[in-house]
Amino acid sequence: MDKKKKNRRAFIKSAGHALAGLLMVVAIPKPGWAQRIHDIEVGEEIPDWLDHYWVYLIDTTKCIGCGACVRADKRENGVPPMFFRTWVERYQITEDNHVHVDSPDGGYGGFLPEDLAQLLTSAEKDPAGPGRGGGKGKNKVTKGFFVPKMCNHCRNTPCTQVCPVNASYQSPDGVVLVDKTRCIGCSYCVQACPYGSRYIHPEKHTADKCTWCYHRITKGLMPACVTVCPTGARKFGDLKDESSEIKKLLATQRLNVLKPELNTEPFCFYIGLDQSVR
Amino acid sequence: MRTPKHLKRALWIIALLFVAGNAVRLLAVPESFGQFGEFRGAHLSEERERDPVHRGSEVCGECHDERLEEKNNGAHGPIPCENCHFQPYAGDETHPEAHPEISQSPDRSQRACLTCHQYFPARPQAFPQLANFPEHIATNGPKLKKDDVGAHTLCVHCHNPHDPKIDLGQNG
Ligand code: HEC
Ligand code: HEC
Ligand code: HEC
Ligand code: HEC
Repeated sequence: MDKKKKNRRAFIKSAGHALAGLLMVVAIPKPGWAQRIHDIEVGEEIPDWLDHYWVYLIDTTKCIGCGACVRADKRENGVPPMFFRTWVERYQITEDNHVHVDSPDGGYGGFLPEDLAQLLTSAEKDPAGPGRGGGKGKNKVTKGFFVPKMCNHCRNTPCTQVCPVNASYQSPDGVVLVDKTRCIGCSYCVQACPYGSRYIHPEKHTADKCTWCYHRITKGLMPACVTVCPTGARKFGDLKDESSEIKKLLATQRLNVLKPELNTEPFCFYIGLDQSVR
Repeated sequence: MRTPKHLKRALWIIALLFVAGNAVRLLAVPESFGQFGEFRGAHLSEERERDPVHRGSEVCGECHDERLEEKNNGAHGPIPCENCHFQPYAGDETHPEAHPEISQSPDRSQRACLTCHQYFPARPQAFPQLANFPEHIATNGPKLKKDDVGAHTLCVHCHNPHDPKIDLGQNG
């Protein structure tokens, strides 16, 4: 009897200790990020980035491949040579069903042929080859178009998921950004991006990518590439703005995204995207 | 009964882990982390801080207002000045010293125009483009009814870059 009582008391005591220990572990303060964006009340402290949701639209049927966007992007964001936040690819499908894709220097100087000086003085009507006049025979270009490319600012981002230090993230208004003060330059995200839209900055040694010109759009301007586009092939806007042009276009045009099979849910939509575009 | 030694030790270890874990958290997690999500909240404001470089045609129009109006009414209306004058305006009041690059930058070569106007099969066919430059001069030069057509080798000899469409009815 006595022994039994003693046993029970010991058990309760040790159980109490264990419970206290357990409580201590549980009592470690909840990490701050458990407080989700939608838990935050929109009010005086929170800036206007909850009022917007940005979206990008590229009309490939209007792109003339002049490269103005690539040049503007480099000036606006100081992108180093041979690295690109946005670039333009040229697709040409020839008579024999070959798809020729090229993007000389990302389209920085347009797509002018190298022997332009010669072309300017020669009266030859149709210089051969898909790069120029159109080619002959089975090299005749039957279909061609330019496809500007950039970060797709996916909803289901493969790149932010792999970041070991949470330097890359999706902002509340839908822009995928890189916090350069936290980035350790491991380049996991460069590998993870199926669109090849990230690079490691050769001097800063951190990941860099298109930010949809975050410093412009948050001041009511358009991204640099959109402002310089001479034909209006690049469009940008706010989904939360009921009267925006982009909302009307998204509602009425036939849209596609790059690599839809990957389920990355890009928020960079395309009009007139051919099936040959990868 | 005394608390068994091993239990005490376990409790100490747990307490130590608690303190050490929180200390590491305090040191490693930046201040505004978690404000809006799983990232450093302050970065949002840092990212938007930078000044825009491209100011658009209106900035140039403050001084070159006639040129701006001319351009906006022409076929090149949607093209910002910066596209062809290359250097965006820094926003400096002192001028033209402030924009020597701009004043020198307009590329008058055919190359500058042809980045947009050279014929490519990949270009939308509705866009006005030149398939053959010598032919362009040969067929269009005489229409201008100028004497020295042979000397007109640059596009800007015949076309005003700010209002490029040539109205033959008026010119000819
Ligand atoms: C603060 C007023 C001001 C602004 C803003 C300004 N300019 Fe000027 N710009 C001038 C003045 C003054 C001159 C010298 C006028 C002259 O020599 O006839 C000049 C000269 C030029 C020239 C050379 C003209 C020549 O005859 O050689 C170019 C090209 C030019 N500006 C382009 C631009 C562009 C493009 C922008 C916008 C990005 C711009 N300017 C913005 C005042 C301005
Ligand atoms: C399509 C390209 C293009 C655009 C857009 C453009 N310019 Fe020009 N601009 C030129 C070229 C090319 C010249 C050189 C013309 C020449 O030398 O005959 C020039 C010359 C000038 C000059 C020198 C004066 C002259 O006539 O020689 C000024 C000033 C100027 N531009 C201002 C502007 C301003 C302001 C805008 C925007 C409203 C603008 N330009 C937009 C191509 C452009
Ligand atoms: C950034 C691209 C770009 C550059 C550079 C450019 N243009 Fe244009 N040009 C355009 C666009 C866009 C139009 C309007 C096309 C339309 O109306 O569909 C146009 C229209 C024209 C037209 C009128 C064509 C027509 O029949 O409607 C002429 C002529 C012309 N450009 C000549 C020039 C010359 C000359 C230069 C070099 C000084 C030049 N362009 C540089 C984009 C450009
Ligand atoms: C010898 C003068 C001359 C030169 C040089 C010249 N053009 Fe033209 N261009 C004309 C005339 C005239 C027209 C109007 C043709 C018409 O309306 O029938 C024209 C029309 C155009 C058009 C309208 C589309 C078309 O083909 O009718 C474009 C685009 C054009 N030029 C671009 C250029 C470019 C780019 C250059 C430089 C590589 C250039 N031009 C050089 C005289 C010239």
